[in-house]
Amino acid sequence: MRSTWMSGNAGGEDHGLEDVEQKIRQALQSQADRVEPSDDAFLRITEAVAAQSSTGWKRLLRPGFAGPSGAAWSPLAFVTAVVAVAFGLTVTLLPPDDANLAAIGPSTPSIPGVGDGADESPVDEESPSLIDDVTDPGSTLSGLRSAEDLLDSVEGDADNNVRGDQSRSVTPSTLPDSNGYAPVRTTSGDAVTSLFDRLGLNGSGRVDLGQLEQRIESDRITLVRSGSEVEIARVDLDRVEDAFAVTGISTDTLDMKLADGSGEAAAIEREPGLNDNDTANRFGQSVMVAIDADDPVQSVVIEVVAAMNGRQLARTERSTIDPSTDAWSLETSFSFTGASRSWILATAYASDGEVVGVAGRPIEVAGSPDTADYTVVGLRPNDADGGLVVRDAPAGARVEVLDFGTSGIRRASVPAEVIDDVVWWLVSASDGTEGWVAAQYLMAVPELSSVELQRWARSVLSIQSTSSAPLTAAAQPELFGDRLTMGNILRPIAAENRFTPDRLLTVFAWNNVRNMPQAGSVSFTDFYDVSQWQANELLVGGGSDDAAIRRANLSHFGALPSFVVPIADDLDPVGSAADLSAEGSNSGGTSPGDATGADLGSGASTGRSQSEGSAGRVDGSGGVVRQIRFHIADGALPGEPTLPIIVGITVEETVVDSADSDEQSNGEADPELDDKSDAVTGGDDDSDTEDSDTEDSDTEDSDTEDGGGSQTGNGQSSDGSDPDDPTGSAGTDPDSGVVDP
Amino acid sequence: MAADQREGGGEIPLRRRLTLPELYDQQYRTMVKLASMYVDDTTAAEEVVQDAFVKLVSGGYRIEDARQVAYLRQMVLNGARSALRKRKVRRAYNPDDPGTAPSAEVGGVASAERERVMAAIRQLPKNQSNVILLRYYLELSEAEIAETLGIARGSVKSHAHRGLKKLRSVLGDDRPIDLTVQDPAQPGRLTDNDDASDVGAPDDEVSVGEVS
Repeated sequence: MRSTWMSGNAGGEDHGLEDVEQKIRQALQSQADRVEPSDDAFLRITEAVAAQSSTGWKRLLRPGFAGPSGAAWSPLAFVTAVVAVAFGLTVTLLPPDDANLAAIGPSTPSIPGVGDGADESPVDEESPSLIDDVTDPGSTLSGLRSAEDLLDSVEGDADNNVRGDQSRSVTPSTLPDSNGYAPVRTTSGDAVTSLFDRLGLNGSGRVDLGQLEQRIESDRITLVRSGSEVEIARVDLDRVEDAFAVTGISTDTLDMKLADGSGEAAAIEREPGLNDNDTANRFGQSVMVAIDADDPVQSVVIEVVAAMNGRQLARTERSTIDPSTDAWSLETSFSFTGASRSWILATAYASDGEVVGVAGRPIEVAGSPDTADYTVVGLRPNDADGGLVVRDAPAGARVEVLDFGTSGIRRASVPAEVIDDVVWWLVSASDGTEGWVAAQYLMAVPELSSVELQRWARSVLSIQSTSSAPLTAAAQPELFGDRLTMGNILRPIAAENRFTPDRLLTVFAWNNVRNMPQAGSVSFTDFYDVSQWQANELLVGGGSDDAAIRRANLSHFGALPSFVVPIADDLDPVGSAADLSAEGSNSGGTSPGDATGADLGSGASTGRSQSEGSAGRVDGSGGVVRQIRFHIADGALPGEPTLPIIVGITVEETVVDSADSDEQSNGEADPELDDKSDAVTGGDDDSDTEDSDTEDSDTEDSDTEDGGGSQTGNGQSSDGSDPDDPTGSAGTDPDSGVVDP
Repeated sequence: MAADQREGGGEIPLRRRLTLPELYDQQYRTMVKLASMYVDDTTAAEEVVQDAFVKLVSGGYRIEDARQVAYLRQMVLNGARSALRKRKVRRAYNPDDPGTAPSAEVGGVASAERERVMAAIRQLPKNQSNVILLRYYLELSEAEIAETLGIARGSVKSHAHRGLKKLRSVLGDDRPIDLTVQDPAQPGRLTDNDDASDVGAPDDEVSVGEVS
């Protein structure tokens, strides 16, 4: 019988832990038995390593790694043929020997890409040379940036990530026109350089394959036996035409053309019935690949990979080619937006599944222009630059600074650049500022109509009830936290009378907010001792490794669209639940009395009338209307469709006097969701508060006259107060957001 | 204990850096099963492990040869937990089709018990659940767990003890699992993240191997 860790304490409070241990072991064993890993995982790993980066390629070449010992050089023939065909090369293969050829490929780690400023890559600067690597295998994993370094750079201040030459003269970049999507046209010299870059060869070098050496000289690759000068194979890189240049890809029209060396173009047309994200494209038709009939290559997988500096952004589905044929047609799909360096990657497998050859052909893929409006987010309040620095080149000289929250930023139609793990975009702001900025500090505002937003909100916030009858305390509505997205905004805690705004916010704040000194009823300024943040804003971070969510962690979301869910100020879970589940956007004329759980799913409003009803303060005595505002941002990851995510929650409290109540109860509806159409399209900070107050209440008037600023907790002032100092607005309690009458 | 459970649990006698094939042969199956403890899906678990392998091989981590396996375990654990969180997010947009849920009759009582235990483990704080998995699945020693998680041996004991106590309280009866506990000293404060290192560090799981 196994020992227990708890045996030393048995008999005390740990009595019974042995049984728990036994239960755990049984459950874990049972769980493990259910899982049967696939047999081809090793192939997938090696492919991923090969595609990952040039350093990965280097791993493939490590002695003893790739290739069955009996493999002849014919895989090389295949691979070189692929390369040759892709580049319009002339291939000369010398008679084979009993060589143990693992793979053809890389040496020094480098940045894949086609003339993409790879010379500025930190990997180039820091990576050990090939020769060093071969002679000291133990050093192969050193000299590169650690994950922690990467993370730090992502989360760090924008300017701190820049290692540009500050003395460089200031020359604002000019945004290119649509010609930025021009087909790739390279000279033979450029093509050779590109190939070497792609393979990590940097023009010349020597690859020690154990028994073989691969020598690279200018436009020739020579394979010799180690220690001898006997050539086994030679690849001469000849002229390259405009072969296989993807002349354009658009996720809107999905028109893609691929011109081969003969000048014929194969049009790729959108297949009906498929959306932009999974439309199948065809390209590379009739591309000739010279393969010997006796070639032991069992299969060849062709795919298109889009990546930046080894980071894979997207890849096509893999198309397997029968090597016994002398022509292949690549039919695959591609989901990608924006422009990127990419390459066609061919991987050859032997009959036993080993990767025996990899070859790549750089291409340039250009998507339709990114038309999204971006907003400057994610900067720390005390950012030394006071905004997002615009530079004349990636990591270049400072040109301008975009203020925190600046919206209407458009991305130019040029590929991003990656320097020191910072992704740089060429952008233009609405005021004419142009230049390169760190993309991590830009967030796209989702373009959702009010109807879409409303529909999405309803899908995100759901209340499940076992009865269609009006909700009561006994009905125990259940709030599914994980349907609030973001994983752990809320834990999936059943309501059970614990669903109160304070409780809700406490839970997620505790689990998600950094540097929070204490839980409980918190305001934003409690854990960020800065005045720039707006009162009562609570960040919702995922605690996740998703870049978008991580950005959102530090977001200032005043300019982001939002929607409002009224809540009861007496923390009545029933009223809250009913409101949360309300259907429809407008309740114009809905009486306060209707704004109860009876409206569940009946088309009641999420607007103010409902709020008042749930607050129960519309009896003429006035009171506090509370509502939760959910701020939304684009949560899409690279290569994935845009999805809105909740990045922040604000509790807003509005003092309503009796006159307000009377007027509001009889007034027209003021659906918050409708207001968001402004926010969505224009990012108007003022829209929410302004609209809600100006139409049908005198609340705003009184506050404005008093200089009281916004009544809402998020400080989105409607009176023109300094948005940078919302807490300084007279009469507003920064912690509660309640206007001090 | 099944043999493959010991694959990743035993001390690796090799002090040199393992090649990828060696690492794969020794660890892959065990790591997939380990990841499945969190993600409960073979495909997802394999993706996690494959990512970890790729990152380990091509990610440029500065690691000692002797820590290679420990590093891999750590990346798998982090990746699996991350995948678990992402799944929650994705399910918010693409809720599972309720019609695809397996019949309640499938697996019977044993399945239900397993799910109950697994759910309880997954809800433990990170370090506690990791320690539980490494101890009771991989059967690692305290020292090995400490090395894998990068914590002190004393912390391993502490996490194991706390985790077991919570699991006992949860599994001891049929109550729904809820590990969220109010701190009586501070109303509103949650104490489930009893590891001080967890407090206020939402991204603390984003460590090794989680750079996307």
